[in-house]
Amino acid sequence: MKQNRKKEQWGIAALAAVLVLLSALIDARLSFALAIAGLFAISFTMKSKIWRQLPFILASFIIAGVVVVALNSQDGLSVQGMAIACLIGATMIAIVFYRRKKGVILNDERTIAIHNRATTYSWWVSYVMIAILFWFDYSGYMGLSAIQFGGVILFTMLLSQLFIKCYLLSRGGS
Amino acid sequence: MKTRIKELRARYNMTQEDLAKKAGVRRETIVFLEQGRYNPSLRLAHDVAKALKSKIDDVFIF
Repeated sequence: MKQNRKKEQWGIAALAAVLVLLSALIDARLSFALAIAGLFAISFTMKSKIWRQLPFILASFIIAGVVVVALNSQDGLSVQGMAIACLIGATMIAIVFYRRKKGVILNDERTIAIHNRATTYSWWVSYVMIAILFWFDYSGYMGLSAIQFGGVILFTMLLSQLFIKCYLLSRGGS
Repeated sequence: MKTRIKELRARYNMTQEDLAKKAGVRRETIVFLEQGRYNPSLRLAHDVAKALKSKIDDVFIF
C-alpha cells in the first residue's frame, strides 16, 4: 500500500516535471504558472504538506530555467549540449538507483553529517562572495549583470560545497 | 577515541565490509572508526558493539 503510494507520488512528480519542462519550451511565464498550479495539484492529490513537493518543483524550475536560457541565447547551450547534460544526469540517477537496489549503503550518519556541514560552510563562502561582489560593484571597480552575479554565486556554492565535502570526507568527519 | 574494533573483528573473523553491513553504515565509516578519526553517535556505537557481540564499553575506550 505504502509502496504503491510512493510510486504514485514519483509518477505524478515526474509528470509535473515533464509538463513544466515542455511548457518552458513555449514560454517561461507559462512554465512558472504551471509549476505553481502543479505544486497545489500534487499537494492536494497526495493529501500531504506542500513543502514535501518543493524539491520536485524547484528541480522543475531549474530545468525550465536552463531550457529557457538556452533557447533564448544566441551562443548559449546547444540542443546537443543539453541532450548530453540530460544523458549524464539520467545515467547518474540510474547508477544511484542500481546501487540502492543492490543494497549498497550510500549514506550513513557520517556522510549525512558531513554533507550538512559542507552545505553550511558553502553558504558562508557564498555570503562572503556576495559581499565581495557587492563592494566591487558599488565601488565601480567591476560591474556585473544580474545573470553574471547569479552565475558566480551558483558556481561558488556548488564548487565550495563539493570541495569542503571532499576535504571533510578525507578527514573522517569528526 | 581509541577502539578495539579491529581486534574484535579479527576474533569473529569479520571483514570491514561485513561489519559495515551489520551496522548499516559504509565501509569507510568503519575504517575511520577503527583509526579513531570519527566519533560515532550513541546509536552507531550501539549497533557496532551489537554486531561485534560486545558492550559499548568493551569496543570504545573513552
